[in-house]
Amino acid sequence: MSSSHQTEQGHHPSFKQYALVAVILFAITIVEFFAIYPDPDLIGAAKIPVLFILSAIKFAIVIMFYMHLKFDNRMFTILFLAGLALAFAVGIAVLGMFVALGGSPRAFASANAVPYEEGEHGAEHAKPTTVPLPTVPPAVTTPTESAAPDVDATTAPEPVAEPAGESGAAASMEIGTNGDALEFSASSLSAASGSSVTLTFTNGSSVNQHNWVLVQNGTKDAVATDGTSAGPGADWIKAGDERVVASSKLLDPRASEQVTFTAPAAGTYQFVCTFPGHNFTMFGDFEVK
Amino acid sequence: MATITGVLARPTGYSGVWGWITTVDHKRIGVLYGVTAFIMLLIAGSEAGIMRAQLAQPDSTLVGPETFNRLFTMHATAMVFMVIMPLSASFFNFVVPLAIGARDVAFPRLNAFSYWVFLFGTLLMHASFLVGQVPDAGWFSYANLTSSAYSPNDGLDFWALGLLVLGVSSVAAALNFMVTIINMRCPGMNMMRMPVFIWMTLITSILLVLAFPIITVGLVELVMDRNFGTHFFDTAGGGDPILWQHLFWVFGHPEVYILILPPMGVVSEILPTFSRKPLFGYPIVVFSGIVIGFMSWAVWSHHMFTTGMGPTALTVFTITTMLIAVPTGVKIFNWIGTMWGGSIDLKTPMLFAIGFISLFIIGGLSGVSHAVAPSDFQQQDTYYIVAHIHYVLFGGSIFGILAGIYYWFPKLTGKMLGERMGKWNFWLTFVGMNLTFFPMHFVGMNGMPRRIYTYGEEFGWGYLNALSSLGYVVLFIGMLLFVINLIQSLRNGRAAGHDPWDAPTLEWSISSPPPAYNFAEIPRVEGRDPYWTTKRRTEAAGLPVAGPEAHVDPETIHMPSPSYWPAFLAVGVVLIAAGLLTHYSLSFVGGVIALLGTIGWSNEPAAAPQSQH
Amino acid sequence: MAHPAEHAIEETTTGLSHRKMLMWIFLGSDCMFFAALIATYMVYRGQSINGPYPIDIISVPITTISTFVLLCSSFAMVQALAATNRDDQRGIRIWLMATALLGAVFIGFQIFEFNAFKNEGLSLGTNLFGATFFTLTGFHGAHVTLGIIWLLGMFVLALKGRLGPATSLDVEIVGLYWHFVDIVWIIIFTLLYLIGGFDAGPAALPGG
Repeated sequence: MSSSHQTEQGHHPSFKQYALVAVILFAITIVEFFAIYPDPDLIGAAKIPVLFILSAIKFAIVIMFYMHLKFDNRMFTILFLAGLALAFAVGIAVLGMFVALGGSPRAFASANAVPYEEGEHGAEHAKPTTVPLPTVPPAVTTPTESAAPDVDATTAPEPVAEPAGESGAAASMEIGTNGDALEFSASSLSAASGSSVTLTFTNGSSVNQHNWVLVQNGTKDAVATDGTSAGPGADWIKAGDERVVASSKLLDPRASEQVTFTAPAAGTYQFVCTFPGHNFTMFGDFEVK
Repeated sequence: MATITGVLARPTGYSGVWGWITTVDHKRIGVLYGVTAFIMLLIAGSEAGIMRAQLAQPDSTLVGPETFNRLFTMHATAMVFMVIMPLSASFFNFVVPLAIGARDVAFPRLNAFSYWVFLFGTLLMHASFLVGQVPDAGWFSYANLTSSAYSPNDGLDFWALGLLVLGVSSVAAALNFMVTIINMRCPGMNMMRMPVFIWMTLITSILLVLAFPIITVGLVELVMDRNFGTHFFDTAGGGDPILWQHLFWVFGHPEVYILILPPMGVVSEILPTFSRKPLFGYPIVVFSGIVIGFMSWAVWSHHMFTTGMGPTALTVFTITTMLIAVPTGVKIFNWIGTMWGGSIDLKTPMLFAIGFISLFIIGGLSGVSHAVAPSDFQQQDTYYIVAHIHYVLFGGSIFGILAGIYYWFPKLTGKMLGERMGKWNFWLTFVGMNLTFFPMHFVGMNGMPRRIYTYGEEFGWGYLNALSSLGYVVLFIGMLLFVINLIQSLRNGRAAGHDPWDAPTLEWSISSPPPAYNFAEIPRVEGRDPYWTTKRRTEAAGLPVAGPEAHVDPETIHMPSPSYWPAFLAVGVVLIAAGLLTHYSLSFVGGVIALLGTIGWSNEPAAAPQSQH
Repeated sequence: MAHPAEHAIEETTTGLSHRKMLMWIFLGSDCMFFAALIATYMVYRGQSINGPYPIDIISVPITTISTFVLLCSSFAMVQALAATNRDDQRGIRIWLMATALLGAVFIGFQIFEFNAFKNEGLSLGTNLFGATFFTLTGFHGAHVTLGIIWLLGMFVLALKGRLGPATSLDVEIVGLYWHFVDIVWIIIFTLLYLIGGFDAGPAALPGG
């Protein structure tokens, strides 16, 4: 074992000093471990600053003593710390951009995430994704939420809402949106001609306003264009537009409304959201039998 | 490994193709970079020509939309990464050791390695043409257009992997130049006596070393999204395409300063020489460069003003972006101050340097208008931005580089580039450049989006687009004259002598072309502009003007020996990337080659005991 | 006793070694690399839309042990350098091999952990937690692996008697790289395990 000695540029730590550093590193790690295990809330909200400070200490003593930066020429410190400081600053700035955004991704996750069923760990319980993810551009139905804004249970894929009974008395159906995507949660609905339809439209988006407008076949884009001129006060629908069979009001995020109408003559119709720009992806077919 | 190196002993000679493949001489590596980059300039310039032909008239059918997408993607990617950056690298290589009084860079083999990786990365990206799967999502490839769903062919993988390989080259070179500049200056050359070009090289290298890792992460995440099923940039999976934009532009903004600072350094060398006056405000010019380097990290989101970041972000980045114009403006005033009261000699390098200043001012002004977020809302993704880009990168970087070529060509070759043809080259390029890009400000403000392959007649953009395309023809002729000038001058240009411009810096004190060892005796300097000092002192003492340093027997000066390991290791690196595009087994082979290459490199016998790596 | 590692082998402006300077600048650059990966992880914390979530599968006790192993390897590394400086050939070999072995044990723990996660249904494409976790720790593991290969190369040199006070710079440089990899792990351990290891699914998130 060598003992402490001086050279022109500073001394080398001795074996004892290196060992002491190692012991401190171990000790801090043990403290960190017991601060969060088995009870993660042992020290409550102080957990984050405490852990940051402790790991910063570990970081610093490895750099200063094991990497010898404390005793070396200051040039090395400048070169390394420049990179480290910039990394820190840019990292925080980027994070700040996302926290400051406060918008879509976090809300999307909250709105759409599925709780993990804890149980036996094992391949049969764990599916790679419980939410099928669209890999193909629009008009693919992915089921996320339907009526309720809170996510408890996700309904299974339902491209077609249950039609009312053939006798055509009263029918009820529900339709929502695919979270924040500009899509309805179903791409086709149907009802029997003459039946009284009560459709509950829920705007599942956290940021967008939507409406649900039942129109003559092939007119969705024209109705939407005219609706743009009509403005938001008119719920983005031209007053007295003869192509419109039924419509909801313009709904705010998370709002819901019931639209009651009589299913028209048999044939194919369309439903669309006429909020400017949404009509390109937010539409579907309505079959009246 | 001794047996391997014994069988193929470390080369000692300079001759032939093998001499070029194994060279570690910074001057030769500078030539390799320059020639390769110039070929890429011609290719990328042709891509621009096709685009201008297509856009010259409304509703044109010369090329279809898919082809057009590939053209603008490859034109820009090539110009940024395979033309301007390597041309700057070519100058770093040739000039830096000479100007600081050194015999080579700190790591000659690493230097060669950087070049070979650059060449192979360029070839890899352009191999996409051979298989017809060319990148086509724009040079900054925004997610999620780049996802495998929306860009199903391999084009974006070529793009991402090609850039990853090019990144290795750039970072290796930047590390090398940082150490060279900090650690190999001749006695007496403290930091504030270095030529400004050396300062700009240092700042650029610092930016490179710190910025490339960010885009490396972005590219890795893109490759993973496209090939390994991750959802980094895919909203449906919870990801956010904006993250790609942040990662890209945190790199991308320092990158544009990487593109402009070296040409600014070149101009800072040329203006004093041809004004016969030292650079005005040297410390301020240096300090401005440093400030630009720092601030380049604080402005990136001005490329993202239209993404809905919220008022706080918009305000912050508007302010920082407007602030970064200040040090740039300061430099411009210092350059003007250099010329003011000087004895201006309008040789071709000076013409290009003055052209740089005027064109960069225009590009800077449009840049300031982008800085204001609300005004950027109108300008973003229009031809107004295209105009800005080309004024700063063509009018700025390329003009600065052309100035540098005219300036240092005599030193490299011992011959002058033709002065008359140089003037024609300059004026045609200057006029052509303005004719091509100035109208774009107007069509841009009039709403013409960028990246469209055609436009309807009813927009009324046809006349200005035709003007731009005519400008391209003028540019083409101008650059053709440049090529002719190069070829003619190489053949029988006027002999240059060691100091044709009566220039102030050390590289002019040795012969043209320099001997392999650069300086017979490492110089000692006492201030800035050391060669002017030497020459004036000699004159004042009534002695005849100093000739170039006398040559000495090269055997007496040890220089690093050539080596084949850099090229060998570079092959390994590119095969790893290529294997990810084709078969993983190729990557494995590449890995083995890389491992062998590293071992061979480390254990290579030096030609002399004190050789450094 | 002279320590040539302090002095440059070659004549340099600052008196510092080119290669040591190169390594420190490279490490500064590598900070940016890991910062971008860590930033991606932090941005996507809580964004996964399906499980498994961290709390379901992260094991803090096991990873604490592997952290200890890596810290031990740093200690072994400084001992290897000290042995080099005092020309203790046997010590050089022992401590270099110890560092490499401890690093290999750490990688073993990583492989075990990755496998366990895969069996519990977490892979790269499963969710954002999987993507960011595996990418970040995977690149760290790749850095460690390259370090182990480098150390083994140094061990071979030691066997040939080529390491000693005159070449201590070589050992110092691999040491700098190795300790850097260790300090990056310190950050990863704190963020992904001690703090992030308890991230649950959406119901537990504020505002979720």
